[in-house]
Amino acid sequence: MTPARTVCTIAGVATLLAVLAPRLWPDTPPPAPEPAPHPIAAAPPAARQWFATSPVPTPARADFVAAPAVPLYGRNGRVVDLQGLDVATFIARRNAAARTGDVRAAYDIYQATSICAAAADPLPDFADAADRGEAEAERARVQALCAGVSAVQLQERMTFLGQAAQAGNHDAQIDFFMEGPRGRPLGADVAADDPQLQAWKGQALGYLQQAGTQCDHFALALLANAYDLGQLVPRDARMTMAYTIASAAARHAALSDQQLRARFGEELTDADFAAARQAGAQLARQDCPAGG
Amino acid sequence: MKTFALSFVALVVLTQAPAFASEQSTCTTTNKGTFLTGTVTTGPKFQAGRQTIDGVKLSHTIIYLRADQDGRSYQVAMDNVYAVDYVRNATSIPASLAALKAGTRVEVCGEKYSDGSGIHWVHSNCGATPKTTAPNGWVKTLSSSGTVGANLERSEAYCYLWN
Repeated sequence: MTPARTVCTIAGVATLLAVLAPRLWPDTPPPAPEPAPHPIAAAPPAARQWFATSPVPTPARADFVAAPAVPLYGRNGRVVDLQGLDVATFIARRNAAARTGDVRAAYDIYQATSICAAAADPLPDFADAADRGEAEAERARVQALCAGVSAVQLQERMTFLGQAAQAGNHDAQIDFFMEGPRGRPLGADVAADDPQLQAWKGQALGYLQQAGTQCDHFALALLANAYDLGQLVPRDARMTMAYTIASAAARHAALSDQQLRARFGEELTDADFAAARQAGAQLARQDCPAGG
Repeated sequence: MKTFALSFVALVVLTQAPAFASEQSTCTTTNKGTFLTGTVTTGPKFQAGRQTIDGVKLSHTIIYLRADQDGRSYQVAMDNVYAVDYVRNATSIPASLAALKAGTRVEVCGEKYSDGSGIHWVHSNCGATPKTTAPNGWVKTLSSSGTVGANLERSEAYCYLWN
C-alpha cells in the first residue's frame, strides 16, 4: 500500500468510526453531520416482565370461534393470533393492563389493531384476477373482524407500539420502523422537514440500533437498507456495507472481500471500502459478542 | 413511422453503448445472467406469493418490457423481498418498483424462463457464487442520458430465509 493510500485508509476509518461512535462508545458526543437519534429512555424495570404471562385471562372455550385457516397479518407483516376473538374484544380485554404499563398487553393491542390498519391500505393492481379475488375476500374477512374498531384506536396503536418499543421489545422496535411515521408509508405526502417526521426518524434509528445491539440480524439488515436508501439518515454506502457485514455476522455468515467487492466495489474507494470493512467487523464484535 | 421508431431505438442503444457493454459483460460473464434492456410496456402489477418461507410470503411485482435486443416482449418477475423498501407480507408493490411505469427504460439481469417468454431472478443472490440458474441479478433504470441507476433488487435483509 502506498503512503498516500495508507493516509486515505486511515482517514476513512476515522470518519466511519466517528459516525459509529455513539454506538461503539456511548459516551462519545455525536458528530455534527449525523442527526442525533431521539433520546430513548432506558428500559424500565417493567421490561423484566416482558416474558411473563400476560395478566389477561385466557378466554373460555365458549369464546373461541373456528381458528382462521388463513393467517392474519398485521401491518408489520407479522402473523397475529386473535385467539378466536374479534379485534375489538381482543383489545377490550387488554386495555386496562396496557394503560397501566403492561408492555406485553400494549404490544398485543398494537398487533391486533395493525391487522385493521393493514386492511385499510388500498389494494394494488394485480397481475392475476384470481389473486385480486382472494385479496378482496381476505379484506372482507378482516373488515368483519375489525368491526367496532374506531379510527382513534387505529391511530392509538402507534402509541402502544411506541410504549413497547421504548420498553426494549425488539419486535416492537423493528415494527416502529416498518410502520413508518404515524403508521403510514415513509415518503407519503409528508414534507421532508416536517418536525414530526424528523422526530420519528430519530426514534426509528435509535430503536433499530437498540435491536441491533442485541445481535438482531434483521434490525442490522434494516439499518443497512436505511443507510442505502437514505431513509432515516443521509445515504452512506460505507455504513450500508458496515451494517451488511454485521447483519451477516449475526447470522453466522462471513462475507468475503470478493462478495463485498461485487456489491460495493464500484461505489466505494479502496480507502472507504477498508474503513467500512473495519467498522463492520467492529459492529459485529460489539453487537454479537458471542458470534451471533 | 416504424423506421423512425427503430432508428430512435438504435440511436438510444448506440449512444449508451459503452455503459451497456460494461453492464452486459458484468451480467453475462461475472454474474452468470441473461442481460436485457428495453422499455416498460405494462407497468407494475402485484402477484401474490405462491410460496411462504418462515412466515414470509414471496410475492412478486410483474412488468412487461419490449427488449432492445430482439424487439420481443418479456415478462419480468421481480421478487418483492429484494426491494430495499419492501414491507414484509404487505399486499402492495414496494414504492421503488411501483415507479417502473410504462415508458420507463430499464435493464435487467437474470434468468430467462425456460420457454423464453420472460425473465426472473433479477435480484441479488445473497452473496452466493453466481450460476446460470441462480445469477447475481438486477433491475436498474436507465435515464435518457444513459445513466444507469442502482439495482432496485439489492436488499439482503431477507437472505436469512435461504441461508
